[in-house]
Amino acid sequence: MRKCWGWRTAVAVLVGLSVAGVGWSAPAPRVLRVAEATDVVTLDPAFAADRPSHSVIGHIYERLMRYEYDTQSKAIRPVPELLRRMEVSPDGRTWTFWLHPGRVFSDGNPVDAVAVKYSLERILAPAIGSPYRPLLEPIQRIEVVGPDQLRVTTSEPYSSLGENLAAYQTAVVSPRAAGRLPLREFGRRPVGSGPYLLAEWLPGQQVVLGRNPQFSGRRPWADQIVFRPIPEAAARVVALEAGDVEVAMRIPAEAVRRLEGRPDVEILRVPTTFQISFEFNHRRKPFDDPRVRRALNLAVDRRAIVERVLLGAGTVPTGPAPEGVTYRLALGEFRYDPGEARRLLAEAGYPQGFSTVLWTPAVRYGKDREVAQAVQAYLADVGVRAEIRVWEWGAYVSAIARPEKEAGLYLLGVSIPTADWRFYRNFRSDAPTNYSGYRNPEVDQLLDEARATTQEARKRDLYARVQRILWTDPPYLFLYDQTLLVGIRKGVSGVRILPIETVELHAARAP
Amino acid sequence: MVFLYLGIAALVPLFVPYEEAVRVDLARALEPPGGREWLGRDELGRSLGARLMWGARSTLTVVIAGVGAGGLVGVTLGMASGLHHGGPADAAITALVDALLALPRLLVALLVVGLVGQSFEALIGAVAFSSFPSFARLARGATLAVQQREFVVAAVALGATRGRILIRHILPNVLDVLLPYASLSLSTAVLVVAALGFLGLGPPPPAPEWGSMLSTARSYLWEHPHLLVVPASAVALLAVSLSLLSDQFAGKHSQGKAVWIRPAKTGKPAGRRGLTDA
Repeated sequence: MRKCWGWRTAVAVLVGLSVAGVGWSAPAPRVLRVAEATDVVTLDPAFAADRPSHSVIGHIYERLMRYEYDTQSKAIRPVPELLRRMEVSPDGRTWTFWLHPGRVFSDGNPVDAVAVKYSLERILAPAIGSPYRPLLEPIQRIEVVGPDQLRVTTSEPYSSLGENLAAYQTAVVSPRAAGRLPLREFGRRPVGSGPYLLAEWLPGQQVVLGRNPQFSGRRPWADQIVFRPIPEAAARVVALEAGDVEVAMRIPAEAVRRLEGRPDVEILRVPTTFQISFEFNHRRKPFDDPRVRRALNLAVDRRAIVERVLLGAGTVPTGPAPEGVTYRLALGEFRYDPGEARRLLAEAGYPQGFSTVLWTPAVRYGKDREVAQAVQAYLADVGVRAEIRVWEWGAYVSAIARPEKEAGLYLLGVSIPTADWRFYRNFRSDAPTNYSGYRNPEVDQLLDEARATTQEARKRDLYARVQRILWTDPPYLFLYDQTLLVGIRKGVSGVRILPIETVELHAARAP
Repeated sequence: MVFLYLGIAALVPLFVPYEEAVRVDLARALEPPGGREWLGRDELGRSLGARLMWGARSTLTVVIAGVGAGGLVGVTLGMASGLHHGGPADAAITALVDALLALPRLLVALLVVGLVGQSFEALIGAVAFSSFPSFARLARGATLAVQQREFVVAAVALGATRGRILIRHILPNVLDVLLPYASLSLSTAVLVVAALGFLGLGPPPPAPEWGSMLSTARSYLWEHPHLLVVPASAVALLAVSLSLLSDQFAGKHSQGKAVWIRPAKTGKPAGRRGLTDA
């Protein structure tokens, strides 16, 4: 069968070439194709929330900073991209940025201080309504000092501004294009200064990127990059096996053994900053009691879940921030101790356990429904009777954002790689994205201090204290740190998969 | 075959406790068939055999209750509509039934579950709601046809009450027609229930349900095909058995009263009104 295809394709190609009269003068474009699980949602950085969108945004736009993955320390490190130099005043309130001069957007306009000011103010403007406003909220004023120099003043000391400028949401957009187009339209017709520009977008089918002729940085190998959404995991595997794509994201763990037996495919196991937990609803009894939260954390055998349900595509968490997150502190695994869990529950006044509701989305996080059922069984062992409700993702996102939700626990993943944004957004009492309702004045104060201090050692110490508190009084039922499985055709090199689950093909090439 | 399924569904609580079907044992996840667990264990180490049998109970309960309720409502509406042939009630019922029949059955069921929420009862409601229109349509046709038969005319002439005619003369004949259809309807309901479960709209986990078993088994297709093959065969076998049963019903009745196999086509003679209206 395989042989048949070989000669048929050869004949077809020859016939095609002769019919079209194409000579050998025009070489075929060099193409790299990536299969993702979901479609790109928007290419407007100020609104992009999902990884496939971020992956494409990373090729079309440039940011002031970008994430670099240090394979030695296994940490993400924000490094300058558009920035040439950056200076912070001793009080942490005034930042001066110098840009690389002479960079141009794909529409020919310069990437200057005015464009950067426009892009940052675009996220801050209430009229635009970007959900990422909190990322830059402390910014009070942005002044253009020279064509390549600008000064940012914050209302309070905000030493994390630098690392937060590596977020995909802060990518620099062409003011001309973004200002001319209606808001929704810009997400479909993006203009940035990255090595690629959007050539074609067929929703649900593919996003095609072509070379940006204005790009003056290091020239990538591929003339064309194609991102294809293939929701069905098995179909993604087949596309990779058939050579329809060079890279397939989110390979299911069950398929790994079979794929590793093939000579033409390679599997990458990427530890990610994605930590999956059942978040406790602190606004509901009995989850306001620290003993109950601790008991439930002791009731689950995470090793069994990682090995048996995830089939190894994960690791047991050793702290509230997985490897790769800035200022991470490794603390050690929770032990599996149902006896102690029962004792703690009895001490908290629940010797007979209690009933609660577990919410989970369907097939958002690999094996979410299976994990939920395993947790349900572990909780039943210590007397906690949990009823599962399975949600469709779109409805789930708005349901968990409601403070009066009836869920006792709900499954959610956090992937933010920088400490400030990761902790502030989820654990600061008044943060609008603190869905669990966690409230701890000490954590609030430590987070504020860490945000303010410009001394690196002090900052590290403050975040270490935050992580210790979160580990001794767990706000969530922490479950596992996700390992991303990516399939790559043999011979394709230079594909970079970041621990935030985005793919970068700037240095990639196929044979 | 159908009786084997019914037997399993009815008797499973006696020899396999429900606990067997939902007890998670991660250490034994994905155990192959054979040995002590004759069908092996699923991705969470639950006994596949126990889940299959309890799934049969759940599926059969849903389809029998659902089609039963749908049939009851459908026959009542259909006969009422047939008796008041030409009246406003008939027009209203016919319009409703036609509108619902225009939609695929699965879509109607999806809508019901979507509106009511996910539960065992919602599933029964979905099956009932999606099956009653065809029952109503068939019952109406049969009623129209039977009304004009000699024995009904004779009963009217003898001064029998309307209720007596309805119950003693018309209903049995209508049911004759509907019995084979009911069995066929059960067969499609099995598929509807499995489809809903597959789409994640069945009873909430960990309840054993064939459709949701299929949906999770899908990703293990290459490495552990039995996880998929076993529930898939159960669904297919039950659906086929039920439609064979329907053939048998139809065959039995056609020997005596050949006219009534497809009453919808013989119903509603042009230009004549039903007797009860006269």
